[in-house]
Amino acid sequence: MGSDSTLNPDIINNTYFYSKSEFKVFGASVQGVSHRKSNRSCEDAYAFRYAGVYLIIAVADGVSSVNNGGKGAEIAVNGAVDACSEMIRKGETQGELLISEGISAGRKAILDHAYLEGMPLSSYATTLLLVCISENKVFCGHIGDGAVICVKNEDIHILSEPVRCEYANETTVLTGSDWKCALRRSSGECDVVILVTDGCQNALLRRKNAQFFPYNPFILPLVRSLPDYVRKGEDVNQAISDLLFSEKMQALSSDDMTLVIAFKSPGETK
Amino acid sequence: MGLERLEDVVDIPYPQHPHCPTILVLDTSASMSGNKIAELNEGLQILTEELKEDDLAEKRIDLAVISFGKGVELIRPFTGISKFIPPELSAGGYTPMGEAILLAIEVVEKRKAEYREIGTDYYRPWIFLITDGQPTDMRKGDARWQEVVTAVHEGEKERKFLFWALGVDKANMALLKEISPPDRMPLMLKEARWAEMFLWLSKSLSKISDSGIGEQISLESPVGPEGWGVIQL
Repeated sequence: MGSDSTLNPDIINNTYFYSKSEFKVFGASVQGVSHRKSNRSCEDAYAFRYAGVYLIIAVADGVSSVNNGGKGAEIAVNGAVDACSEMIRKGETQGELLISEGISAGRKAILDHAYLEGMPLSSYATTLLLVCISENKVFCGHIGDGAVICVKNEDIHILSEPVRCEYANETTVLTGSDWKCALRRSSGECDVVILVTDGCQNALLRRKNAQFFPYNPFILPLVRSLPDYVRKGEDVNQAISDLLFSEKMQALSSDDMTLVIAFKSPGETK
Repeated sequence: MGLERLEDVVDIPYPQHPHCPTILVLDTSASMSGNKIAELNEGLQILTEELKEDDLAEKRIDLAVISFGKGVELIRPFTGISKFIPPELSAGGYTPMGEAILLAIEVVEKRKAEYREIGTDYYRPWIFLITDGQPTDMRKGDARWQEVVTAVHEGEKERKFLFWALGVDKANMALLKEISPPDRMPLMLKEARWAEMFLWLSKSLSKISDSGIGEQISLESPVGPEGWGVIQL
């Protein structure tokens, strides 16, 4: 799933479309303990596309209490990244606009699918995180929990934190009628961008006095070590998957877990 | 030389479990004396033991107990199940149910504020009332009655907590129905089904403590043919 060439081809309308992005992206979605127990597949999803100067990444967490949450997550991430890359192909360069249209397209893709299947939109409830990363800048749109973390010169900050609902088993969703109010936009500078769903967000974020803080002892070693994996030709996606499946990570939550990380190719960092 | 595994490279923090606060509001008036108070005490033992058997519930459920009889007393403040010691209740006195309900709501709100302050996630609290009689500290329509009914109904409507009322023996179910939230009828315990009721409570709390985002919990019905309770209309 990760990229391994400087020029990152993406096929749009059967033509190769070469990106100028220097970022590489790796990640994994793994089934959580509760879904293993109940024999449900992983209902997290992620997708990415390269287009122009941008790397576009979407991550979603299908709500487990509805019948088609996993499908909703899959449709949302693909709908959002496809829409963004198509807009870029047509000449759009404004990050904020890409985010708004991408989130909207992710929702519309679910709406269209639900209509065709004759199912209620709410049965596809999912969160959605969408980022468009250009040379050093990242634009973000976010509905629900999960988080986006940026690292710039080893300074870590939370670009988009989980939505604050009062109770632990509540969140906002892309399929809700109030999705426009629930959408939070942000932007920042970055060398590294990490997107996570709520299943593993507690490894990267800690809470104190009702505030979220990045948990640096997890984030910094991860950010420092992955370029070595790339240099040595290791399977980075598998390494992330193994990390998420590790006993300590699984103890953090019984939910599905997704962690996606984008960073500049080793040796190419400016 | 191969690279270290990522799990050995990064520091994975200890889990911060969301907490599930539950408060039992128990009638210990004189009419509960004899078998009823004995079975209630036994039920508290069962509840505690069952929850301790569940790894996740043990980490997540915080239990508190208010008794109302000789007075209204918070006899167990919120305590994690691993450290919870069930009280040995004795019966006596009147039935100051109104004051006990108001205290339960206050204690729950205070607990939520503590969770927020330390940054702990939490589930919607449960208030679980058990009585065999009717309130002696309020009469239908008086100021205390209005205060209690409004606090329960508004609290439910605003999703501050879930309020359950359980009647035992000669409980005044008509009054309990008026106190209870309009969408949740009070339940009447079938004779000698105390153990089943506490097992149901334990299972229900375990399910909630393992629930994920947006998950709607399907609790076992307590009022089926095999259930421990009935709804008296």
